[in-house]
Amino acid sequence: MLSEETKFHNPWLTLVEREYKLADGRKTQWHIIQRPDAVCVFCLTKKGKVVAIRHYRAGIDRIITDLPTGRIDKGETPLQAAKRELKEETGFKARKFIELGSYASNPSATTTTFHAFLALEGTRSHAQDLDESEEIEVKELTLKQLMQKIESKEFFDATRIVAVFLALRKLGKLKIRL
Amino acid sequence: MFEMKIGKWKMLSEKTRFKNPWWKVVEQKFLTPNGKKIRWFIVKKPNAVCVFCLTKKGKVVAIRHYRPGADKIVWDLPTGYINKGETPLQAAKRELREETGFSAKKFIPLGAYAGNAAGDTVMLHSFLAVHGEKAHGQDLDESEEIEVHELEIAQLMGKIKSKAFIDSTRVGVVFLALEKLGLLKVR
Repeated sequence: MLSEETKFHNPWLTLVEREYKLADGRKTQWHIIQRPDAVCVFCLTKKGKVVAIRHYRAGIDRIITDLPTGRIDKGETPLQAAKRELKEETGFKARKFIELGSYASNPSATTTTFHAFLALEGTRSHAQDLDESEEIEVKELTLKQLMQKIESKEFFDATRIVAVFLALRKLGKLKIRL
Repeated sequence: MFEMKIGKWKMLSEKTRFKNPWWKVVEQKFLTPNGKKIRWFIVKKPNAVCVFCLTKKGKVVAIRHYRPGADKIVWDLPTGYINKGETPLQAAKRELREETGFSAKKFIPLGAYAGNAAGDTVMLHSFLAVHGEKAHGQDLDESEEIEVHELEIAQLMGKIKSKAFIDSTRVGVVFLALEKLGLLKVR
């Protein structure tokens, strides 16, 4: 990297312009969007249902089915954020949280890392506690219903589809023949 | 379960805050069905394609390249923006050829999913390509420096596990492709 300049900055998003020298000596300009890292939780209830949410997503201008998700606040660990987001968005808490891994949400143009968790033995113990901008419906879906919603594109965010597959794999419900 | 009104938000205003030749950042103000006013930032980008290509020998055509956002060299699937006037299928064929030199006999759509439904407009159209073979040299864009590899599916799964293959949207495409190939079963 040869230089970096912040073009735009607010609490949600920072945009930096970088100039790079490629391996062969050419120069290239690149814009990176920095957003806070995020978590996402695949929570199974005691009855084996998945805690799903429905909300409006402004980026694609659609209401979609999703997993509980949110930004990691300053000073929080990913696990703390996962527990908090599950509780705030759905009112559920879970007995056990298992890390499913951290993946990039778009390593080309953003620095955002996305931490996925599997939560087990979830029970509804609180009311929702939503942020100003959140309007969220909570649903308990069977695994079959969830897979159908992926197929029908009602469950639509690619990063969350990964969390579903990683969770199913961890639960031993997904067999890959190699 | 809960009494919360879910509905589309009504956009009140939109201002472009940043623009480059590839995409722009807009600030939008919304009114929600519950009467709240919300400020939101969205990245407007062209839609993209991504190709899971199996060679005649059953290997996956994978690439390695530097990703400035993550500041890492990562394993990936061939991918790129859809050009103006192109269909997703045309873009998938072009990107596979340009980035890897491979062409494939058959392209099967795996569906279009949102890259980041909250903050981006991007739809990622993914394809399974079968009977791939190396037919050309690479034909790379100005900013592209790409290494091409053929991986066993087991090797690819290992790279997902070790986080050498890190882009979550691409991990999703791998699973969708394995499902389409009948190699993945959900119990």
